[in-house]
Amino acid sequence: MAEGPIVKLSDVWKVYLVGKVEYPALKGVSMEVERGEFLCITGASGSGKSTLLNVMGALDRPTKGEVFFENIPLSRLSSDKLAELRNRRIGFVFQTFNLLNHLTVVENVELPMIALGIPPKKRRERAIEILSKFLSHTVIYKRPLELSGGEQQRVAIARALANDPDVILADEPTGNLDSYNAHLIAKIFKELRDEGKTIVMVTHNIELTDYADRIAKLRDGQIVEIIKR
Amino acid sequence: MRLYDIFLLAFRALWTHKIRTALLILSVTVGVAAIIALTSQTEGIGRNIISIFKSLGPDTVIVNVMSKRLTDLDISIIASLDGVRKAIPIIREVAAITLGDTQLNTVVYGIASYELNEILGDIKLIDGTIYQDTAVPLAIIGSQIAFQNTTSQPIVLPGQAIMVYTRGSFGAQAQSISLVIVVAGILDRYGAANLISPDTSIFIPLQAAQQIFNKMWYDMVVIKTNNVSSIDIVEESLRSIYGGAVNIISPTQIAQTMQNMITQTSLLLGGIAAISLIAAALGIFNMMLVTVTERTREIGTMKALGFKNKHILAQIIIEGLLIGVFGGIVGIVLGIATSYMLPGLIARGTAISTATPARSQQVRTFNPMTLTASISYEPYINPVIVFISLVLAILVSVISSLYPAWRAAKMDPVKALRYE
Ligand SMILES: Nc1ncnc2c1ncn2[C@@H]1O[C@H](COP(=O)(O)OP(=O)(O)OP(=O)(O)O)[C@@H](O)[C@H]1O
Ligand SMILES: [Mg+2]
Repeated sequence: MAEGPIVKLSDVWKVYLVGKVEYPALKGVSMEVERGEFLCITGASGSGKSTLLNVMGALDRPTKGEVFFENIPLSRLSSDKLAELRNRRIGFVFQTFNLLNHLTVVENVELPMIALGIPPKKRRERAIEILSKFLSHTVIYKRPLELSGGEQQRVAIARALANDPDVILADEPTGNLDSYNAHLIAKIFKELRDEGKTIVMVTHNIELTDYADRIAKLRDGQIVEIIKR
Repeated sequence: MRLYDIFLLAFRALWTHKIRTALLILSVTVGVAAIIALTSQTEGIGRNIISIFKSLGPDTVIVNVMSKRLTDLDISIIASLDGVRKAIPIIREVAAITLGDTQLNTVVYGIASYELNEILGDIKLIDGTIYQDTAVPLAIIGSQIAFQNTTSQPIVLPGQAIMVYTRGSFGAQAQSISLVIVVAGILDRYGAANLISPDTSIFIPLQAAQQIFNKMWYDMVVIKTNNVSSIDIVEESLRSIYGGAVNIISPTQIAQTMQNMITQTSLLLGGIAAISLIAAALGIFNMMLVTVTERTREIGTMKALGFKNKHILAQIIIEGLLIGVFGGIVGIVLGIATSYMLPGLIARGTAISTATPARSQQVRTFNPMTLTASISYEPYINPVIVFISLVLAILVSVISSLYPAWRAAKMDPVKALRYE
């Protein structure tokens, strides 16, 4: 395993063109995500949290600056290589769950393994194994829309874990959930952190930052404060 | 990602929108079915007609009298032409016969017994014998005359006499002749597959015909050439001798011309049917674009999970491919089924025109086309056309999903995930 931070951003800019006006969503962010930490990112709406997370997750390319994943500069990787990186090393969890509604719960969990090319029997076994950590067996062959929001988000977490990634990136994963479920999800992330995963979670919910090791505050596309707990 | 899984995901995506998918498949189905059903008719009709022309043998040339009376001298002139193996003189009279209370149109042919095989091919008698070449009006009769639509038992038997009425000889003196002929033999069913329609004809000795009809000339001459390549020379010689006074038919050449016409008709009909595939293509193109837009978030999610652009591209193209394959296969089945249903529908549509009233005997000049106009044919399903239409269906579906697939593949995952 490589030394040092798992993700490192160095002077990352993301500039959107709105019409002819340049709008910087990230203005020279430099930070490190330590291996095995639970990092929370907070900030007002529009401060650039999602943009930052997407750049960290090799889903978006910065306009300027460099993102290193285990010291590999991502700007050098082709979009196929980035896809492979996301597939094996990163798991995404979204506010709106983003489950594929025409597939069953277990098939949704299998998706990253399908992309990786794992044979059907093996991936089904593994999907069921992961799911059973977070949900009762009865949901396995249901459709996502037959589940409650909290259940759907747990399916999404199971899906994020399918290929045993190092990092979980969650963009307001509790935004659509009630307080009980929000804490449930945050606890799951804490447990995953304890098992050695690196967690980066964007959240508005101040209560949930209690679960984190560090909190990064973003304002107008810049890190204004990093609190260690 | 495994190819198998791309197919699986494509199939699942199509299955989600069952009605939409079914409509797209249907649009392809209609195109393929139309191509197969239409071309199989022309090919079937064509093959039927060609077999009729070919049944006389490829080396045959038929001379029909128009305004010149062909005598024994003409026969010997024709027989001595370069390339001619033999010239068979035939007398022909359009006639009517009355059996019980039904009247029936027929054609009486006067022809030497030993030449019968030249116009009938195999002589298939189901009863009686062939006549002797004398002036006695013994006859062999076609199966339709003998059976009169009753299936099991012939109404007329060998040894029995039948009354035949004609409008008299070729030419102006339209005196009506009624004569008695005695049945010597009954022919088996030949079907429509002959220029001479044996089923509705009566054959008598040439001498007998000359006497009865009081004719010392012939109405047609069937020429057998030395080989197929002599046909052109023989035809040329005949034209230089008789000009427009006779009508010369070469079944082989007609068959060839027909073949070309039929191929062209098939191409035309097939082409018109294929145009409906363009409509299918537009439908697929449009629907795929809609689907891709609807699935924007899903595509963004898949990319976030690590699916590559080429995986997304392949999945959408394979969705198109599946539509083409299913549409094509169903279209082939439907096309073949329709092919076999159409001849019945066409026959019903033309039944009135083929069932001419028995009394109308206006058809004085011999016209092989009208005599064999009874429409009964087997549609011919050309495996090459089936294959081509399947390939076309798949090609059209795949091509029309290329652009939507490309649109999906090049989507920016971040924007796709933000898409409402
Ligand atoms: N594709 C885009 N084009 C133009 N501007 C964009 C685009 N994407 C984001 N932005 C802008 O960049 C800024 C940061 O967006 P981002 O989504 O990162 O904010 P956020 O902190 O996640 O906000 P929220 O809490 O509402 O999710 C916002 O002002 C947004 O309007
Ligand atoms: Mg956001």
